[in-house]
Amino acid sequence: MGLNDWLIALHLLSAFALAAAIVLFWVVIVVVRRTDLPEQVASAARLLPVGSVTVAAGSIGVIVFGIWLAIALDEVKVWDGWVLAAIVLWAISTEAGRRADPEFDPCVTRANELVAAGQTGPDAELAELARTRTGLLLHAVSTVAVLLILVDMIWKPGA
Amino acid sequence: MSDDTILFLHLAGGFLFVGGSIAAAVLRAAAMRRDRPSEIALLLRAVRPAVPLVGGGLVLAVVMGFWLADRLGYGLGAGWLSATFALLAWIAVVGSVAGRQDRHTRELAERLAADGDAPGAELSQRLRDPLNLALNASLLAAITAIVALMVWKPGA
Repeated sequence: MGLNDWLIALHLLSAFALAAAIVLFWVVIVVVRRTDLPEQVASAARLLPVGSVTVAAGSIGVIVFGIWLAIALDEVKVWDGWVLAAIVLWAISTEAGRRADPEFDPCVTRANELVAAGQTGPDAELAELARTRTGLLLHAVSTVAVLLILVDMIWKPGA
Repeated sequence: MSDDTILFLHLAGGFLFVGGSIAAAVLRAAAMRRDRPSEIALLLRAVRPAVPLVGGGLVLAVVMGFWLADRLGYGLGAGWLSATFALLAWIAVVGSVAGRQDRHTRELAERLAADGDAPGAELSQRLRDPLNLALNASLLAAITAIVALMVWKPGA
């Protein structure tokens, strides 16, 4: 197996890691939005670091091996329209995901404070914080951008 | 349908299947680290939204994979494809067995949560049942192997 085969393999494996992290974040968001109990929010939120590590590894792997591949392959150039489009979509996805994270911080902080204070009953403020529309929207933008990257990778418009 | 569309649906199915499976595994592992039945029930319940992703993704990936193999002229008897089919059969059988065990564990956690939420030995044993853990680990190993077979296509 040549270097290019390895680059494609690592590019794809990174994409799988990215997809796994996105699904995990969606699961946590769904769980957090469905409850107003501090312990349950705090419990689900403890999964976020796993998602963050996976999404970082996947995002960095996808862009690094993708650009390396574009440089290594004779028939592809980094400045090809579909490659540039993929890079822009990757940037949108990464930034939207990065901005979604702090949107859920007040909710997690509130949940942890309530748990530390021994208040385990439903909390209206916690429920409101958990249902952040901005956080949901940013994560949705990040997911759609990744889906568009897949479309771009398959059809390679302009190639 | 064009080859590109079939490939897109095959890959989208694969991403959903692998993503959902890993999310489910993370939730299952996280449940093992908790003591309170309510927390365990929450995490095991959270697996449920991932189940349609895993099932739908698997069906999409397999159906489109068959179609793609036919269109691209890959022989279905090729070693890497035969190995993939064997692993998929393993996932289907073991997944249903392990899934049923995990559902019973979740139901026990929900009963205990509703009944005072005190940690119980039976729940702890079920979460750490060596057979169930081995089955779940074998599922992850099979998924990893399928991804590797699809990426490297040994012998193709």
